[in-house]
Amino acid sequence: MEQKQTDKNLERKIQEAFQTTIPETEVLDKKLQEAYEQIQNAKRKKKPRLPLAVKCSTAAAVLLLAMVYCVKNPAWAAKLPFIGDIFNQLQEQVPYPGDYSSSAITLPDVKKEQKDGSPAQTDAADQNGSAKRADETDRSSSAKRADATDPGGITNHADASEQNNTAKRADTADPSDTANGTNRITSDGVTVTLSEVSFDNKAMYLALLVQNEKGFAQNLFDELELGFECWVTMYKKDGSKEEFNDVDGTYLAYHAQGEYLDAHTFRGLAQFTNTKLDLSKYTSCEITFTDFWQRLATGKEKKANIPVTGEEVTIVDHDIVHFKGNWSFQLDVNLTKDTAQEVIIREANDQGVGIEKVVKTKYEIYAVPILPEGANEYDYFITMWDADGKPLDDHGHSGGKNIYGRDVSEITVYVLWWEDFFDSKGENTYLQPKKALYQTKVKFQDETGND
Amino acid sequence: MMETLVQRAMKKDAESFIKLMEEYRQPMKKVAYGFFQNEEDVADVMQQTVLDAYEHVGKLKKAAHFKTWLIRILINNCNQLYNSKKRMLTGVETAEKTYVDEYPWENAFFSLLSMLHKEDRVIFMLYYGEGYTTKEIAKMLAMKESTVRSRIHRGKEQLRSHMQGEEWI
Repeated sequence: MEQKQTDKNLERKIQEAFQTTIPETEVLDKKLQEAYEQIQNAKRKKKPRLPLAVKCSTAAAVLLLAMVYCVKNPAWAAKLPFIGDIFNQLQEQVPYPGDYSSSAITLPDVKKEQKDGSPAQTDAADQNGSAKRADETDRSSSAKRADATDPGGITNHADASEQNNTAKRADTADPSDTANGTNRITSDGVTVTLSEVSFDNKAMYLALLVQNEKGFAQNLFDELELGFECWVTMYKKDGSKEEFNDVDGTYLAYHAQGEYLDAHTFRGLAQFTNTKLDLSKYTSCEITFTDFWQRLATGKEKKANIPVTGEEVTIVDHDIVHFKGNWSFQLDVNLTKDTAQEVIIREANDQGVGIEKVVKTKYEIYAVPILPEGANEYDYFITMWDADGKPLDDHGHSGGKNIYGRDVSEITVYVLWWEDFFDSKGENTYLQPKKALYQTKVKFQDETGND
Repeated sequence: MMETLVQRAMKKDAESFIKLMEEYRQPMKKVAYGFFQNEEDVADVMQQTVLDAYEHVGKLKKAAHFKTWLIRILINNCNQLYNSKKRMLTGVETAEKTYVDEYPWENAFFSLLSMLHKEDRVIFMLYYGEGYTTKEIAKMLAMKESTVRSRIHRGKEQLRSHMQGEEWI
């Protein structure tokens, strides 16, 4: 008995000792600062490399001229079949496939063009005006807002008039209207059109067309990607707002996936989400793009040894081309038609591992785990199998599972310790039921996941 | 938040990566002090680890593995530096003496480390300080799980006798 008590004391003393904070030293500060500067300088050194002239076939040259004309004449561009139809074209090719097109909202400029063939607010003066307004106000106001944000990332609504205006617009507008009525903006020769939007309570999906007068780079590392940096401000019903941006590491999206139609045109989809996002809290949002970038196939090759194994590999530090500007859009977040189903489980095993609830949205299923006190969420993996006993794939970056084309009338949820998860993936998936710390079955009303 | 930072760092975002390094600064330092008593050595090995990690972070497949992966790199660098320093010394005894004795500060953490064999310190740090299981530690250090367990047992016995002698427990 006494020995057991001594053991307990010993364990406690050891744990306490290892939790002690170690003092900082000047030499460590200096060395780490040097390392950080090296990292930041390496990033800055990457210079844009514009594409070399390409030998075009006659047909390709005609298409190229057509696209340049298109950028100059948006009305003509609007008549091309891909505007207003981007979800339909790409929704099965992205890593989060879904039937977005059937519930997508076509945004006003595109809608108007589809109706009468004339562009809305897209003549040169208007476009310049939009870009100017964005340049003058949005970026600086975003920065100000970021400064004022509390550590939790939530701000009280200081500039009430702006929010009230937005809220009013949201109340009175057609649900498909953007708050400021334009969803096409040109900045420094790059025109960004948000053509369609779709929501569930976990993510916002945008279809966008990016037309670049100067031309995009050609020799890409990933030919299906156009990267971007953007700031998102989400407005809540109570007048407060929340910022998501790269600076805080709280960004919701960093790239669009789709295709380059030619040297000047990219169309793609972007999923704005994170594992904790709940869109039902918000009424509208402002999305400000500040940079579109492409990662090239070229770059500096380096030989390196993989730590632990010592294996020598060649690593390419890819060159990146940037197209900087300011494209600021306002959108209403409309979830009135969302029909997310929530099944409360609230059950855990003896180890304190379990599931609080499982939620099915239009496009995905996700589970909220119960974990032992002090446990790290990233040490556990949740997997789900459909009614046919097949594992569901990840749904992009949302943390949920994709349900497109799957029978999810009944799903099985497994919670695995991270190491067991890696031992039971791929061809070893069949081991998951055996290795799971906790498992449960959940039934949903609709097999297809549609409303 | 942490997962988001890791995902961003995996895309070579320098700011996110640096934030992560600051988040993991204390655990990294503790592991490094499991190998070295000298603050210059700790600073050198952490600098190298930060640069190596940034160079390879794009190859990391799962954000959830980041911390373990980072500590593995650190341990690898510690081993390399330790071995190179050991080779520079003339005999094992001298080397052992250099790497067993004094730490630059006195607090519970360093007192406890100094009571342990050098080869047990990192294991203790990972097990008690960072909460890794014996199985995970065995994988990280490329040794048998039974060895990890026996080292923990041996270390605990050693600490018990030290602590009882000094009336810690």
